[in-house]
Amino acid sequence: MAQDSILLTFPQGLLGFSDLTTFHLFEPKGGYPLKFLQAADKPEISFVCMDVAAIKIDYEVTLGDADANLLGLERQEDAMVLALVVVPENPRGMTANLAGPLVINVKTQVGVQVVLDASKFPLQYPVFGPQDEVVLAFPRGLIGFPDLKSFRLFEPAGSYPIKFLQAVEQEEISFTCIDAGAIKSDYTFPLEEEDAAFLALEKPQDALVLAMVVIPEDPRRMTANLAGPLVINVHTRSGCQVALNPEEYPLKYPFIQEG
Amino acid sequence: MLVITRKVNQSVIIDGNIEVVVTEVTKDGVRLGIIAPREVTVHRRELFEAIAEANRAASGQQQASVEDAAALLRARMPKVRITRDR
Repeated sequence: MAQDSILLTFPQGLLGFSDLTTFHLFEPKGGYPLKFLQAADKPEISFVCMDVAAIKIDYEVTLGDADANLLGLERQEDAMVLALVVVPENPRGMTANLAGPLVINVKTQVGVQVVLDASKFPLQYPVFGPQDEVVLAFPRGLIGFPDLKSFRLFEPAGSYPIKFLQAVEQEEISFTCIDAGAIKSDYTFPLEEEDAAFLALEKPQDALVLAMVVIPEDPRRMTANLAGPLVINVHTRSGCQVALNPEEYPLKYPFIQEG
Repeated sequence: MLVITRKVNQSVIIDGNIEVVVTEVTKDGVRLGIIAPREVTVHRRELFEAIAEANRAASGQQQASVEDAAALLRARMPKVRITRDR
């Protein structure tokens, strides 16, 4: 299947490339978060860019009148924001230019490169965070898996926001999970005294709560287990799986809301 | 399976440090009290099985379907904020 591409018009071109006004934006499958912006008139010129939303920071782009009029954005949802990426010899050193984002109106397919204050926004933001291998200890294992007491938490960009909890002792076993707060902002449950003490949890902010995710053939029907959350103390990196009443908390919470 | 008969307030000791006590017997069931070290977990069987089953289901994911699911989720997540400079 040919890659989908959309044709974009940048009336002012890009900074330093004011003559390049038309581009094809390719989004290779499995290549998330990277995309390619290829100049229609000069196909040998191609820019690597990425969805800024993949960089997990609170990024806000302020548009001046000229840019806003050019884009004619009616709704927030019509905007796509990309950052140009520099790929050095070692791809792990990839950096994104957050001071000069490309703001695109997906409805009109018009884009503009916005110039932000480079003293506030990094020109070379490292795309891959520090290689912090997060290993979590689960002294009680998981329910049904009492022998798995140690896990690596992986968050590959291509699967964001889904994470993987891989058993250190049995690497072929990996659980898909997600930050419970990301799927249900009002998800709360009582934590037994013994569990809180077991995890040395003093305040709710010290806890990361993950829910196991099951993805059926139709990904729109994916569900999260809210009756068996994993509660992790982010400071000590130890966790346990809590069993809640399935009559009060769904075992298969369908968190993709239609519409 | 080891079957032992206990009266109310009698108990069994498992593995030297887990105690199960019969605290009450009513027409609705038998109430058990369990004293065990912190690392030992105790769950009602049906709850245990439901969650173990859900865990098993979450461990059998194909990489490709995870990426499709992730793309779907990202499309619905809040996007970068655009504000006007007035």
